[in-house]
Amino acid sequence: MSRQWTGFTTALRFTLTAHVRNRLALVLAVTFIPLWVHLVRVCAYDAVLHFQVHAAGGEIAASNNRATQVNSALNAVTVIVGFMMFMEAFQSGPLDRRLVLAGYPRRHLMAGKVVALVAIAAVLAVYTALLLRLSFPLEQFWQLALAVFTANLAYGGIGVMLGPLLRGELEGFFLIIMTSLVDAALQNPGMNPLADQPGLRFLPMYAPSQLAYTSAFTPVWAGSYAAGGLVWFALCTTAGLLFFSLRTRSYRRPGARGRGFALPGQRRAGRTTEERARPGAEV
Amino acid sequence: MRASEGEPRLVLSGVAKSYGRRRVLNGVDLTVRAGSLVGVVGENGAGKSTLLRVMVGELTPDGGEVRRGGEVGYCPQETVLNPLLTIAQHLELFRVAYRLPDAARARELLAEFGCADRLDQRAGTLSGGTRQKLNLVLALMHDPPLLVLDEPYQGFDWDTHQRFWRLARALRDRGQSVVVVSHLVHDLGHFDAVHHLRDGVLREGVPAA
Repeated sequence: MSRQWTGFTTALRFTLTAHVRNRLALVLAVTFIPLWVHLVRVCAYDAVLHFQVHAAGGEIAASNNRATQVNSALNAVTVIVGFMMFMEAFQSGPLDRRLVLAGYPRRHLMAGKVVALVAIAAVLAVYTALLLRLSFPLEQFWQLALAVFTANLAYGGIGVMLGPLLRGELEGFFLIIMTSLVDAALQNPGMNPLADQPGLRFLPMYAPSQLAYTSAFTPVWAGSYAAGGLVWFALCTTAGLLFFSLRTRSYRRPGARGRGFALPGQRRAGRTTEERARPGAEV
Repeated sequence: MRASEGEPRLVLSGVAKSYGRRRVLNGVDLTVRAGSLVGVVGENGAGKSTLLRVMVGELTPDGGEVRRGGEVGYCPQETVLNPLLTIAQHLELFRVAYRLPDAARARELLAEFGCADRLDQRAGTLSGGTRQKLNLVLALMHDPPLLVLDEPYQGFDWDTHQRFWRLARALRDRGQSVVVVSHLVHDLGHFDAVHHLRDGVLREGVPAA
C-alpha cells in the first residue's frame, strides 16, 4: 500500500471513529431530527399554501404543515452535521497541528475530514429523507435525499471551515446554530412564500431547499439545484484547508526559516538520517 | 562522547520572537550537540515554551536562524491528544506521520512506563499522568536524533519521574540530543549543561537565587 494511501485511509478511519464516538452528536442525530419533524407535524398550522419554488418552475400548492416539516428537517440535520464537523475539526486541531509538525501531510488529514463529511452527510440525508417519508408521502424520495445531502455538505463545510478558525467551542456552536436558523427561516415558504429577494439565492440553504420542496411535492427533476450546496461545500472546505494550512507548521516545509543540515548517516526505518533531515521531504 | 565534542544537532543564532509589542526572545544563541542532555530553565512566563516551539519549527522566529540536524521529537508542555481516540490509535497516527514500519518502539516505551496494557483505552479516560506518558512516548517513538521536551514529566509520580531521567540519560548515551525544559531544582544535576532564559536571552549556567 502506498504511503499516500496509508496516510489518507488512516486519517479517514480515525476521523470517522472520532465522529462515531461523539455521543452527543449521535444522540442528537437519532432523536432530535425525528422529534423536530414530529413536533412540526403535530403543532404546525395545516392548510394549503401557495408558494414559489423556482426549481419546480413556478408556484406550487402544498400543505403548510408538510412544507414546514421539510424546512425543519433541513434545519435540524444541518445544525447537527455542522456541529459534528465543527467539533471534530476543533477538538482534533491541536493533535492535527502536532501530527503535521511530526510529518503527517496536511492534505491527507484534510482529505480524511472531507471524505468523512461526505459519508456522514450521505447517511444522515437518507435517514432524514426516510423520516419525512414516514411522516407523509413524498413525490421523489431520492431527489429529496440529494437535497438534504447537499444541505449537509454545505453546513458540514461551514463546520470544517470554522474548526481551525475559531478559538472557542461556544463561538462555533453559536455561529452554526444561528446561521442555520436564520437561513432555514428565510427559506420557509410559510414565512417567505415568494422567495424572490435578491440575496436569498446566495444563502447556503437556498438551493437545497428549492430542491427539497420540488422533490417533496412535485415530480419535477431539478437536480441542477444540487450544485448550489456543492458550491458552498467547495468554498467552505477550501477555506478550511487554507485556515488549516495557516495554523499548522511542518519543519519539513520547504522555505521555512528553520533549516536542516546533514548528520552522519545512520540507516533506520528504511531511511538514512540524511533522508529524514532533508527539508521539504514529503511522504 | 563528551557533549562538547558531538556533532551539532541544533543551532540557534540570534533568534528573536515577539508577541505584539512584547519581546519574548531577544537574540537567543544555542548549540546542542549529539549526545548531550541540555536543560533550559527560567521563571514562569520567561519564554521557555516559546523558545522550544521555535526550536521545533512550530513557531517561526521574527529574526535569527534555526538549524536542525534531522528529525525532531517534540513533547509539548500540555498533553496534545484526541480524547476520543485510544492509545493504540494515537500510536498508529504517529507511526504514519513518522513513516515507521511499525510501532514496536512505542510499545516498548509504553511498557517501560508501565502502561502497555492500556492500548485500547481512550485518551479521554486516562489519568493525567498516563496521558502525559503517552504525550512523551509520541515524541520518542521514532528515535529522532534531537528530542525537545517541554516539562515532560508533569503529573508523573516519583518513580516514573526517576524512570524518565534514566531513559533520558540512556538516550543521551546512545548519541541522541535531549533538550528539556525544567523548573525543578533537583533536576539540574541531570543535565550536561543548563541554560537560563531571562529577559529574552539565554545564558549558560544557573543564576544565584
